Amino acid sequence: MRVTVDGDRCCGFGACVEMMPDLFRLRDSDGLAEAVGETNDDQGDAVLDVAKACPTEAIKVER
Amino acid sequence: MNRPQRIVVVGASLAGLRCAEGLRRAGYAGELVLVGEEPHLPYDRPPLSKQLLTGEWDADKIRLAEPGGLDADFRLGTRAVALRPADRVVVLDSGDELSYDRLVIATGAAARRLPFGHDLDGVHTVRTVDDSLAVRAAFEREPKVVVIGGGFIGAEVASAARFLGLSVALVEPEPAPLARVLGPDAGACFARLHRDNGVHLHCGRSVVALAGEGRVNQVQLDDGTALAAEVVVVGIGATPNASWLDGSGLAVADGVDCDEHLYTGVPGVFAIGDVARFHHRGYGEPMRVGHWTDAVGQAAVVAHNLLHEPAEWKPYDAIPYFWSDQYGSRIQFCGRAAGRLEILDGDPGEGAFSAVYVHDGKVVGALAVNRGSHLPKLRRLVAAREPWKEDL
Repeated sequence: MRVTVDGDRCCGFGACVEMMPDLFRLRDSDGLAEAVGETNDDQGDAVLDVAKACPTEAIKVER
Repeated sequence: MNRPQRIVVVGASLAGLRCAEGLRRAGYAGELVLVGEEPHLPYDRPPLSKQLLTGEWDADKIRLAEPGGLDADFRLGTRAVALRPADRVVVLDSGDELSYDRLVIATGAAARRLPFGHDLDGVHTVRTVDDSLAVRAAFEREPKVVVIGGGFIGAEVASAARFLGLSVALVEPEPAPLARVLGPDAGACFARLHRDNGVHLHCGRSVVALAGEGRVNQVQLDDGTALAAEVVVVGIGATPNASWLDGSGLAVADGVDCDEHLYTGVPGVFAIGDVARFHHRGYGEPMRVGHWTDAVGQAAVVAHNLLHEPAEWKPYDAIPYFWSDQYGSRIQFCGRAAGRLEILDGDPGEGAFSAVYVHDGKVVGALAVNRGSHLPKLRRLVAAREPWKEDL
C-alpha cells in the first residue's frame, strides 16, 4: 500500500497526524503533512478513514 | 421523515460543493441544484491571494469540480434574490423560482470596500478568481503597490507582491498587521516579518482618501502622509452575503443565524460556510468563522443533517482553524485569539515559534509559525481548555 500526501492540497490541518501518528507527521519547514511510517495491509481501512477525514482530500492511497 | 426529493444549495463555492458531494456520497439520489453567482464552476479561494497572484499556479489548478463530475444541476452566473420559506421557493435574478424540500444557504461573503475610491482604476479587492487574475495582470506592469489592511488577505497580497519584486506599502489601522485577528503580541512578530521582507509598514494609520484622475495615483493617510500608488489592493475584511434574505423571516444581522446543527429554525433550511452564524457548543456563543476547513466541516455536518431526523442531527463544534502563507512562513492558528499569548517553543523574533492564548487561566487558542509539527498537540490543549502552567 502506498500512501502519499499532495503538498499542493495539504493545509497542515493535522487530522492525519492525530488519527495515525505513526504514519503521518507534520513538517515544521512548511507545515505540511507527509507519510513517513510503514503501512501494512491490515491498516488499509484505517488509512482510508484518514483519507476521508482529510479536509483538503490531499491523501492518496494506492493498493 | 419524508426523504427529501429536491435539495437546493444556494452558493457554489467550497461549502456548497462539499455539501452536495456529501449528499451524493451518502446515497442521496434526488434532485440537486446548485446556484452560483459567479460564472465559474466551484474553485478554491486560498490560492487567490497566494500562488495565483504570484503566477506560480494558473486558474486551472484551483478548480474544485470538473464539468459533469457531480450529478447536479449547476445554475451558474445566477444569483438568488429572495427566499419565500412559506412556499419553499428561492427566487433567482432571472425571475425563475426554484422550489425545494431542503435548502442550504452557502452564499459566502463579499470583500468589504472602502466608502470611497473604488470607482478609480487600479483599485482592487481579492475575493474571486477574476479579482485575483486582475491583480496579477496589474502586477505584471511592475507598479508601486499599496495594500490597505494588514489582515490575512492584505498580508498575503503584500507577500505575493514582494515575491514579484514590487515596491509595497501596507497600511493597517491597528499597531501591527494581524493584530486584530491574532492579538498585539503576535502582531509584533508579523510586523517584523513584513519589514524584513522589504514592505513599508504604516501601522496605526487609516486611509482617508484615494486620489487620482480616473486612475488611482495616491493613498492619503490620516496623518497627512501621501503614498504614491499605481495599484491599490483593499483587504479590509468580508461581509456575509445575506441581504438577499431580507424579508424572508430568517435572522441575518451578521450572517444567517443558526443553531449548533446549522439549522436556521425555518423548516428545511440550513446555513454553512462564511455566511453561517452558528451557536458553537464548545464556546457557548454564536460564531461566524469564515475559515476554509470550517466550511468543509460544516458542509459534512449539514449533508448528514439534511438526510436525517432532528433526533439524529449532528452539531458542528470543531475548533476553528486557519492557515496563512507569508514570505515563505507558514502561520497556523486554532481556537480563539483571546487573552494573553504565552510562547511554548521557539522565538517570535526568530520567526519560528508555537504559542497559546491563555484566557481566564485556560488555553483557548494556539498559534504556530513554522512549527507545523506542534499543531496536533496545540489543538489538544485548546480542545481540553487546558489550565495554563509553565511547562505545558
